[in-house]
Amino acid sequence: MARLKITPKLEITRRALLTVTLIAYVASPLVVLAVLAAAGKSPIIALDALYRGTIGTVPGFAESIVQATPLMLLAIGLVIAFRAKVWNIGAEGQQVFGAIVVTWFVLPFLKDPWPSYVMIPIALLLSFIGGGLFAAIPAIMRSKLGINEVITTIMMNYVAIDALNWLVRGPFQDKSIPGSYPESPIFPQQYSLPIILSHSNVTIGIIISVVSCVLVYYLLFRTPLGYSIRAVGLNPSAAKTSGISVNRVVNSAMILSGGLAGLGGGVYILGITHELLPEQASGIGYTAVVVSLLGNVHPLGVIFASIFFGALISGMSSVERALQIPQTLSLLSQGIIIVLILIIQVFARYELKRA
Amino acid sequence: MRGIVKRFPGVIANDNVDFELRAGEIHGLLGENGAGKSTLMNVLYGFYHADEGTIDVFGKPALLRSPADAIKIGIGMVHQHLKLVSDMTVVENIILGLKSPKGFLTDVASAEKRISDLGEHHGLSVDPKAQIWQLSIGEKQRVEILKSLYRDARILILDEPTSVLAPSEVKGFFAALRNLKQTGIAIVLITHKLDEVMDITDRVTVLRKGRKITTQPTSSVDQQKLAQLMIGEEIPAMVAKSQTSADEVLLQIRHLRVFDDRGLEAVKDVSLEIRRGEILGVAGVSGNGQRELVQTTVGLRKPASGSITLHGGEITGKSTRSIIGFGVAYVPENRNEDGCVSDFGIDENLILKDFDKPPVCNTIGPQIPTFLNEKQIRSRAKQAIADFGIKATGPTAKARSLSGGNLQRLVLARELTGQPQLIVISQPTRGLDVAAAEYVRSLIVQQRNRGAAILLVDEDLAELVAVSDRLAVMYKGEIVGLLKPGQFRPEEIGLMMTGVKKMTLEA
Amino acid sequence: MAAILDAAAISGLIASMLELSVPMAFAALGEVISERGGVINLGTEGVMLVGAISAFSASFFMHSNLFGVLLGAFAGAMIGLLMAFISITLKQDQILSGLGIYFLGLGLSGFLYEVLFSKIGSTIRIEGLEKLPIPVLSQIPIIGNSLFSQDIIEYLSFVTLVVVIFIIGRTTFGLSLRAVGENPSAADTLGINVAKIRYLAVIAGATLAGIGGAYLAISSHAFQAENITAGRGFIAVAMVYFGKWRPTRAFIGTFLFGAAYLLGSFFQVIGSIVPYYFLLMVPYLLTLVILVAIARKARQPTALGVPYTRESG
Repeated sequence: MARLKITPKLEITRRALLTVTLIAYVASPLVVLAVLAAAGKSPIIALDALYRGTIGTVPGFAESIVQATPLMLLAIGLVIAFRAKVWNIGAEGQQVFGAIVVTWFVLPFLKDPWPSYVMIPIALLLSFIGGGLFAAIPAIMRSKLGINEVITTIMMNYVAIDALNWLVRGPFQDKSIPGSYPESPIFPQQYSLPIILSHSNVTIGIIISVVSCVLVYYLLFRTPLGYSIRAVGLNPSAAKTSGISVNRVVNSAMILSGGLAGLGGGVYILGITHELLPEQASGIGYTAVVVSLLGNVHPLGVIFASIFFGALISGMSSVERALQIPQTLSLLSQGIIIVLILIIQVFARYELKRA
Repeated sequence: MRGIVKRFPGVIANDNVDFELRAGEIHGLLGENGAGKSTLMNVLYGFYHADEGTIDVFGKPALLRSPADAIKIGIGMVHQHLKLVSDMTVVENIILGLKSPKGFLTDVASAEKRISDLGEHHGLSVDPKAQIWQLSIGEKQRVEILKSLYRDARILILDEPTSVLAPSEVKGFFAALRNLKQTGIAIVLITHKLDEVMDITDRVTVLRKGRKITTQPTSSVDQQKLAQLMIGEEIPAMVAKSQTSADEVLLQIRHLRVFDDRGLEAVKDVSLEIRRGEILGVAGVSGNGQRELVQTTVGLRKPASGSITLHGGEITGKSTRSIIGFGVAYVPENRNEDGCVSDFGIDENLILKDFDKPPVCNTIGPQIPTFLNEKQIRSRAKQAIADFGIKATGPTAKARSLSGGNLQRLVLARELTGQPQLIVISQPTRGLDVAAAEYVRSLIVQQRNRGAAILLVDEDLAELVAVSDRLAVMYKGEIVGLLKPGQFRPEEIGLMMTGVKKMTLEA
Repeated sequence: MAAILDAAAISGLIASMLELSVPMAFAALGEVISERGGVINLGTEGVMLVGAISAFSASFFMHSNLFGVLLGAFAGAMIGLLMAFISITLKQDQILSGLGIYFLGLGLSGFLYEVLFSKIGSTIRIEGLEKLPIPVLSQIPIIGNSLFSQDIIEYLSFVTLVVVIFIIGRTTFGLSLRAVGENPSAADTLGINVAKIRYLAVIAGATLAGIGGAYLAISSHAFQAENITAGRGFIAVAMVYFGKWRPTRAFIGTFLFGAAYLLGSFFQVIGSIVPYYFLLMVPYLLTLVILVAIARKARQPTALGVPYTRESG
């Protein structure tokens, strides 16, 4: 009687990881098509829309990049945290807080803005610092008190979302327009990220994201801090025995991760929305967790995975328009794809043997 | 058991082994670490599945797919690492997994009674209501045995049961075993201790490197013969030690008091000193404070009171990092857990202590680290592999792929390079084969000859006696004996290890 | 200029608090079972969502709230089965599996709502459950009208608490569960099927979360995909930590959270000027503060979050 047994592999080869990831990439659009076919929609039209929405047309391609940009920043930040085995589920709150800090900085300067090459770098820097500070609270709770960071970061998410909701209806609200809309005043042109692809929303944000990934690569694999982060993540006991301060590493990883998430929020608000809206809390922080996994928690993988996800989101919008289907279908597809990725990824780590 | 073959990735743990057990006998299963004794018995217990071979129990072929099957036909096993749930009571641990007479409700009351009765009957009394974490190791072991007796075991497998007992406790333990034997229960005693085999077993089977060597009635062999069968080659001679004038005191521990993780006093009032060029061995049954002593010396634990000075300077309570900076090396007993990062390569493991300092890290000025220096890291790895004979596929081979002996070479390469003045070592040859152990011992003596002060904690008394210049014995957190060369008598040391004898030491 | 704080208002607030907390209470009790067995389920939020849409649909189309609750429980069990498969059999990291389940639940519930209800005109509401006042006790002023006049599911939550305490403490399953969460190896050597116990624990937990979600939908009378749970599944998981893995404490925690959550409404009632959304932060901050306060003494099940494999070699 042949029974399948799942046994852990001795060494996870890079080839296995890549194969598995590739399968995940290919399977995902197939899932979308399958779901649509099940819903009775034509897969041909869907496939065409998917293609046009991702790489087939310039607007589609642009939208993919636009969606990928903040995702990439959040995901690369998570890579730092996850390498230290610090489970930062708070990227959502950190990016919201980053956007809040940007708004706080921008509002006093609505009338008389300084030139963009001054305002934008400062705003982005502040969003990074803001995200980092926001993450410092769960970081300290873990390193000083041993409180599980999963719960604390999730709590902080809701604190940020509620703060956002309060601010856009209160102190940050645009009082100059009639009626009471939950939004901040629109930022002047000086505060928008420069666009690099004409007639689109593609800004220097994507460059910032990719550069961040490269920097994180160097951080993790070429600097002592990155080394200690990886050591603590792989074997905190051995790291401690060798004199590494696990607390310092956990704090650093968490704060850097929060900072990058905050930066992601800043790039989002300065590049896409140009004002503070409740939609800032879009759930991107949770998606970033999955993107980081799909990228095998590696900077290079994250670049590809973010673009893939950005394309997925953009492609799904295109499909929605083409087939006149509601947005919930893409949410469903996304959910299925995520679970599928989680299942497929397992096979890189384990092998199936006949018992 | 006939023709048992069990393979694990990269190694054949049991190579065509036959094993036969008779009712009412105590059968010793003897072999060195890694000989395959535990594996064989785990196969019998259904915990592992044999790749080949058959098992018959009580005359009938047995299909042992899991411990549940083994338990059903009357096999019980007490593992080396006790499988008890700390937070639950004795009763709860014993009735775990059994069908209750009250259906899906647990029947604690009647179980308590039965456990008390069983305990009294066999001389293994324990308070059923006690919680496991409150018990002593000896009592915990009794609970483990009661687990099997409660399930009407007719075959009892004991895996290195005396490794956690003090010599005096062993006497009582063996008496209980003899009692059990009388009731017709067959006992398999897995051990690597020759004296135990001679003491209590009726027959003995010797395993070496996964193969069965022989099965003999105990009466027809002696310790020497068993040792020969077990090791198969001559026991190597001791390493020659040069004369050193061990004058200067390097490490001084004064009235150290340390608490363990549970808040109990592990080190009560320990004062020791180690000179340059001297090996101070620390003997004792594990769990008498040696671990806490070692951890405090290297800064992994803070003492409650007392002081430790290195070369005159206070290091009490300082961080591990700064202590390492003073030239202290530490070879931990769990080399996989504490000594290296399995998923790092050899090169990355070698820089674990100084990854942010020159030469492996570039710096701005003397203090501010920038980037890792790949060239230096690689050359260090190549050097270490050459100097210490590490068998690996290359400098980037993952530590996970190294055998026990090679892993220890890696750890030693990291710790011993750089001329440390104090070396703290715990269980250096645990789990190593004879050749690897020999090499490790020679390295230790080499360092001593060079002038390092060495604190050596070792369960292997023979090794300790062979290598140490002076020998301290620890019992319940205190130094109960400090022996000079010429005073090392195993019987005396054994008595000290169990607290029977105590030397008066100069303050 | 404080408004009049009359008995009816207070009574109403208490009743709201109970209604608000009960879904979390069910989910928290379920999560206690799951985590005592060693599996953390961050997907509880997604489970609740699926439970909610199932109950809402059943209630709307079949005009039976009871059937809605049952369907919600069943849907929760199915999602729990998937979670168990991914994290126990496939041994995928539990945090990631849980988040995956969250996304799946989010997508599934929104999609189902769209598919089933988008064609049905404007207002889609369902009847809530009727209140069942306890004789005598419900005459007590203020609390009689609220605490002792709850609907059947609310009463059921208290019953469930007792049942969960009983199961964990006095049954063979509960014993095995605790062992599996603390020292799975010990359980394994005694022949306990660790995976099976964990499967049951996760499914039981998800079933309760499904009931919680079902009640949420029924008591809300309407359904909005992303807002209906508003993180309550995650809160339930937090409450398990808060309650130090003891059922009663987690249960009380969810009610305290609910009370803190209504602080906003309370202040609105008395006409305070403190902004509503600002006050919504209070329960989350409070949870953080209390976690800090109890930090030193909390000890989680030793094997929590770690997939179990029998050591080989």
